[in-house]
Amino acid sequence: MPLFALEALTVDFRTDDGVLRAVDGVSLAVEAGEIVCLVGESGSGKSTVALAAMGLLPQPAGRVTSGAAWLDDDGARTDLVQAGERALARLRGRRLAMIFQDPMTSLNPYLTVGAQLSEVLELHEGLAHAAARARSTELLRQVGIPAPESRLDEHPHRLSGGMRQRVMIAMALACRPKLLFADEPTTALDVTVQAQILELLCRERDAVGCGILLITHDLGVVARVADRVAVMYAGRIVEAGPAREVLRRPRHPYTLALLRAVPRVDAEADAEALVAIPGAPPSPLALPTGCAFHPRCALAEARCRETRPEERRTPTAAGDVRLRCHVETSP
Amino acid sequence: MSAPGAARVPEPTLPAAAVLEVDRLRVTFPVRRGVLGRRVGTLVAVDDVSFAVRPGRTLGLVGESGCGKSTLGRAILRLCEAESGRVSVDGVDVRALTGERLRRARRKMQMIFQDPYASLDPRRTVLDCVAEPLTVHGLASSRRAALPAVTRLLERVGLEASHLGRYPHELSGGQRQRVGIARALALEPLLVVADEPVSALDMSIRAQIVNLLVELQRELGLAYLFIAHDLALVRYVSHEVAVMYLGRVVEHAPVRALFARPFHPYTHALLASAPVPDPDAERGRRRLVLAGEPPSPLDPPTGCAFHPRCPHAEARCARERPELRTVGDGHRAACHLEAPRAWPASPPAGTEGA
Repeated sequence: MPLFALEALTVDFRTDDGVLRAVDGVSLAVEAGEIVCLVGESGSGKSTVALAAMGLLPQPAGRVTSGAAWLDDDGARTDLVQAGERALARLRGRRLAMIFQDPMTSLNPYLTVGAQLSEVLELHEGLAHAAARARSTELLRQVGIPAPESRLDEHPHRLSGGMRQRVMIAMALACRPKLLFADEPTTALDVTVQAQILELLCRERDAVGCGILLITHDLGVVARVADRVAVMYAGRIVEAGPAREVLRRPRHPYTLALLRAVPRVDAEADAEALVAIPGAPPSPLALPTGCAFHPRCALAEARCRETRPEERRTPTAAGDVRLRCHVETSP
Repeated sequence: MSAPGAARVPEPTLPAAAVLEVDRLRVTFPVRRGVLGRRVGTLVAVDDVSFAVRPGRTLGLVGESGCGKSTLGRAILRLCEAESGRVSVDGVDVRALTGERLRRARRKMQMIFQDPYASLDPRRTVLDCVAEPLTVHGLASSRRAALPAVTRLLERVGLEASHLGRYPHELSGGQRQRVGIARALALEPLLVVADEPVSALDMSIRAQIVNLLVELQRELGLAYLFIAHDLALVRYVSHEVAVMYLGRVVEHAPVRALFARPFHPYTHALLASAPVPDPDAERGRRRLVLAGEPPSPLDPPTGCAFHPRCPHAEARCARERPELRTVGDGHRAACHLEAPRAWPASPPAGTEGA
């Protein structure tokens, strides 16, 4: 039983222009001690997946219409979709936590860093005030904040973007959650700080054995940290499997096209021109028929316009690759 | 190894005069405090920066947020004022110009912004946006008279006549950036400063815009100052690259030399930090995690600004500021080290700041 398993999760949003399906039948598992990356462009539904599992969908517009999000809590399975707000509140912090791209979405600008960290520890861990403060200092030190004692009394706005991100990560890790959702945690940061934060997440995974679902648009980040990866397009997972297999032998034309459209910093950069993907990601309100990628796909055939490809599994040495494509590029 | 990077335009056969020459440029901002805004100090955003860009060539300018790269771009276009130094565009000292002569010089230098949504007026159509520079500079008597030129420009950047009447919010991010490019090209500039031109776009769209910029350079012989934090992108489009740290250029080299033989320890760190979308390549790369964060320009370190984070720093580095010196063919670096040195094995990851 995996630590976390999405089963055919489907999420709809009611908008002024009609109901849109942001997430369409997404199945995905995260094992303990594993980093799974969910990759996609804006509007692909990748962030909605995590919000739905955390019970944080914008209300009343967003709704899980079918599917389940199972969390294995020491052998007891909880469906996060069905769990009520009280059950979720109990799980958040202690069992699952989330890191956002913008730390100010989860930091309170009016409270000092120490007050916010201590609150989490007193609430969930039942620590007394002094103990909570000592543990807060330790947490800040662990996430690489210099002079942590003096930072406890500062307000978030006094910190740099990288420092705030670390504070948010310290809060998320405070109760040693088993499952961490990280939504573009390094996108707003400089590359040297990004490298630090990614190391930090990997270390936490190694130390605690937590599972991490890392949502990103950056294939370089995937290559650096992911054990497995799922590529989303227009609300569906189009390719998923072991990270090395998917990145080195992409089978879905979209995965392949993304890899050829991204420049590289290493010597391979001199080898080939970037191949642009024509067009733009579709609006979830006006999805193309058949395979949603077909209008941009160089390999599209008649059937791609007509029928949606069902998921197929291809076994590889490192594990199965799941694929939704009628055509499939030759790896 | 292949021919020069796939995107890069071949060397011109005859060396042409530089379109842009920047000489010892320094940009400062007053630091004010209190309700009366009393001046309490000076922030040096750009310090002693010199370089030149020839027609058809791209100088990539990289560095982390706050390093001064965007301020430098803005100062060149006189969107902000420099304190000292010289900027010449097509042989004309831009900093000395005022009024009508400045306006005329501005035709030769244009900017492409990161967020076309912010740089385009939401209440005006594509035709209005692209025609505006033409009418303002008297190249077209009216919007209507500008129509043929605007249509040609749109076609050139991959848009259609059907886009003329659209508003920015009706366009995709990529299309908006194409409008921004058409607007920048309307006055047939010699120099284009592109400040993070694709970082706001989805990754499947970025290559479209990058390839368009490269094509336009090839056709029109444009000189580009390409400002970006994405090293891979800079490697792809640039002929030369300058690395900035805390307002100063710390390394400047032909693109292949910079990426193959980086000299400055900071350049090493930047290159090693940027992830590569290939797990095998990632595994083979040195793990080098630069500790700490860039220092505040309000309180710059003494000597070499990088010394508090540098694994090779010696006593001298805290005392004396290294000047840029030649370390290879067309390759300059500001570092006291005799030769580039490999970083020591990575410290326990993500640890203490400097």
